[in-house]
Amino acid sequence: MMLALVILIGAFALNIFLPWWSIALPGLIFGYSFKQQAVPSFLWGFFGVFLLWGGQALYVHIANEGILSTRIAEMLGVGSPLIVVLITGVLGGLVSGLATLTGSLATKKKRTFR
Amino acid sequence: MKSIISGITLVIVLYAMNTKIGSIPPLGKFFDPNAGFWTNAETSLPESEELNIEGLIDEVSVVYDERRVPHIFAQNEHDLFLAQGYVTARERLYQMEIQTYDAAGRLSELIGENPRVQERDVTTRRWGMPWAAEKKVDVAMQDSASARILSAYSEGVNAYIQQLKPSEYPLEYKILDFSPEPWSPLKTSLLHMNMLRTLSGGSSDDRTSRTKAYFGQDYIDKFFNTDPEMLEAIIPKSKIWDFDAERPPKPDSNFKPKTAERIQYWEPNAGVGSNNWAVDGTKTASGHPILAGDPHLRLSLPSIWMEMQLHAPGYNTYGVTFQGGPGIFIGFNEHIAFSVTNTGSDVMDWYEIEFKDASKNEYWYDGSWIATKKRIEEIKIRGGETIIDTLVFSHHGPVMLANPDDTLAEPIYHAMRWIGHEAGNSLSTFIGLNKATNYDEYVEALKSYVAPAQNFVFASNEGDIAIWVNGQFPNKWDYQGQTVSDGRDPAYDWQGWIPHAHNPHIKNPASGFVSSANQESAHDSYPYYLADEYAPYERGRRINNLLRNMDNITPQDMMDMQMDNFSMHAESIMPNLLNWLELDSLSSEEQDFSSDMNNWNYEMNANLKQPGFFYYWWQELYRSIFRDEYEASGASLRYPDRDRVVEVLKDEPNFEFIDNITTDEKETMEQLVTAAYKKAYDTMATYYGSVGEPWNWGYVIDNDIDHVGQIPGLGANDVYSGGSSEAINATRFGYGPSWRMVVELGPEIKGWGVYPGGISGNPGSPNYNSFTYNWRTGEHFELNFYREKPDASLYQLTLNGDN
Repeated sequence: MMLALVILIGAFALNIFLPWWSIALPGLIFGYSFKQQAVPSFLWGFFGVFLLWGGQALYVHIANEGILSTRIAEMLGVGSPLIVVLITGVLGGLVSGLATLTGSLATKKKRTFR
Repeated sequence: MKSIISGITLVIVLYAMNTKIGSIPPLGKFFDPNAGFWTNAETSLPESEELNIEGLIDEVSVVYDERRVPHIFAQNEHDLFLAQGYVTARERLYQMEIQTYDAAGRLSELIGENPRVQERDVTTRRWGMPWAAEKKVDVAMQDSASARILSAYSEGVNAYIQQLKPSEYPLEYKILDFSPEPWSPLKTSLLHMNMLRTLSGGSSDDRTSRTKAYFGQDYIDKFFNTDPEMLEAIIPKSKIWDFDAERPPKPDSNFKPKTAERIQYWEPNAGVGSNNWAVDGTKTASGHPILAGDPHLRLSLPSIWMEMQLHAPGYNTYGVTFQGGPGIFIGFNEHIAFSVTNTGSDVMDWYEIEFKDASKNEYWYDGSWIATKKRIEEIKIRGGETIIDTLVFSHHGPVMLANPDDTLAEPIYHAMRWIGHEAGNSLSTFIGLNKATNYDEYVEALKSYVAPAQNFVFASNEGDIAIWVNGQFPNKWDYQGQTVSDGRDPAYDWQGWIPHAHNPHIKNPASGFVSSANQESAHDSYPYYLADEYAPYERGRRINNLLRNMDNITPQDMMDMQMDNFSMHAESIMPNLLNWLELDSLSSEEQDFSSDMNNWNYEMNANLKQPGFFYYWWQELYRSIFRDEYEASGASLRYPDRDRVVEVLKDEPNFEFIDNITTDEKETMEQLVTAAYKKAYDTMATYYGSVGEPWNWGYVIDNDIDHVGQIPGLGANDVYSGGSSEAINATRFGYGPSWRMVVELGPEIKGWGVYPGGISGNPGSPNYNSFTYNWRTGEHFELNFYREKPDASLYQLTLNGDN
């Protein structure tokens, strides 16, 4: 949970002034330093940026009264603007999850097997 | 090991999501809520701000009114047009730029490998679009006044582009993953070429040649060289021509071109048309003239036009702008109002060329071999190899292979002579009209105009009304260029121009009104030959019929008239169709509906069932008459206009084409009309179910207003509306009035107007499509025409020079 939160905050801060791929950096750093197992690392990493990008997209969707998201949904042929919001979250989540996984795997040598 | 695999996967995913793959935008970049498409979603009105704009001499204010129309208040001409460039780019940058890519044959640079796009680029180059744009801009830049305006406009566009961050790029740049290019006067010239292609780029020379070869000269005379009796030319019979015309002699040779097939001619653009008219003070309630105009084009979003007011010393003009060009194109100032419709002059001719050999270095002309000129075109393709194409020019213009499929052993070449290639400065006309204060200044402004030829309607505060069929017209012998011409013989060349003063025009006629609707330019008494192809008489005649019988006209009457859906086409043929219809052969449902057709008032209204049915009924009948003969020829031939066909069918119910030549039987008019009725019923039932609300013309009319770059989701589909190509309200199938304007002259000049779309070009803005409801229901907005900068505004920009 904590891992997701720090990734969310880190990604939010970096993404303001760096290009989109900067959302991978908190995952790499915190995935390494939190030393969690692979699966939870991926999931928390995913969840952190899924919430961030999905939340930002949802906010814009509502504030814009869905004008643009409806058009993008039609362009992509996905039916509902909420799916566009969802895709945004999932894309961000995937990148972050993969980054966090990579970070956590880099620490693996230090872990003992039982 | 696992960390390496995971790391590599991450890098691949990041790379893939940063790259455009096919038509899919780079996903990471595109969906990023901080810089991707989400940032284009407008969540509040733009804020008032002060901006530093390089190049401004004095302060400029841009006031946005409650409909977000920008009103520019500048202190000198340079700043006015710089600010216009800036303000236009701020709303419409993508629209401006994509059209220049199209006109330059550069779409493949953005889209990548796509055979259709590539073909369009190649055709655009071969037709000499970029070549002519370069010639034109050279001429415009030699005129210091035009050069100053074009340069200032470019500066303004570039000032906007320079301060744009990638996260602020218009949506379409993110979808297509490209960056704006610097603007230049050449780009404005390319946009002019685009307009020329749309409005004067059609030709049926090749099809007429073949039609003549298959059906003979009598057929040509009957359908293409005979005016319908109902036709009223734009410049009417009452006009007296007070000059002698010197015409070039018609050659004795009767040149028969080889039958060439498959060249990609631009078809005459049937969706393009327009209305305009003006009434003088004797016919209006106020005693002052009223002017109305509505140009018909293929509708698009962002909308073709943008309303704007330009105010500076010497200027106070309100109207619509063409995105990428300085000035107001259709509008009014404190003294005059003006609007345009397209002129159907034959200004594109084709010449058969005989090359000496395959090198195409020389061609035969007037008894000797003449050297051709060549030009290399490089068509870049995104992610692909550049195509190199060599253009060959005769003195006529670019030469094209007319049978590119090598279906004939011997290649046939056609050279194109087109007014669109003629160097000239048409911009100065619009700038002149923006500033004109009376009739003489209007005529002076028209003189420099080359093309596309337009019917310029005019009304002034001094009480004058006028219309000029205006453009540079080749002085031709009768029917010159109706068919493909002999490229070897100088007698077939364009030999000089009709003097401007001889262009058809009329001022303050006794009737009290002037009008145009793309019909024949002038009555037969006009001593020059202009063309054999115009819009059918119906719209023009309807306008004249209404205006003749109107008195005490108010602006509201004119606005209502712009929404008139009456079909003179239906009026002219429906009684005959119902007479010819054999009721006994119909099913009971089909019979029931025929009484609906009987009770129809010929209005193409959205909530009526008859217009859609009539549309299909006529279409089926027309096809059943001509299709068998035309298809038997195996060639692409020219079809006659419906208005002349109606006349022939009424006069000659035994017209030989009525017989279906693919059957042994000899068909009658009654049989064809009845079969067409049943087919129309079948079509309607198939698409719209049993007779009921879904049969309403508003649905059948299928108005899709597409995005200018054809990106799905960014247009407006199924806009429910009345209208028809033969009605004054020419809305149908996504074509129609792209701007409706009514102006009442007088001490307090007043304007009303509406267009489909909005001010903003951003699909994420509520102002992208905010006027379309008013447009389709005919509720014009009263226009805010300010004498001086108003205090109240929605928001405003203060632009300061960077010094």
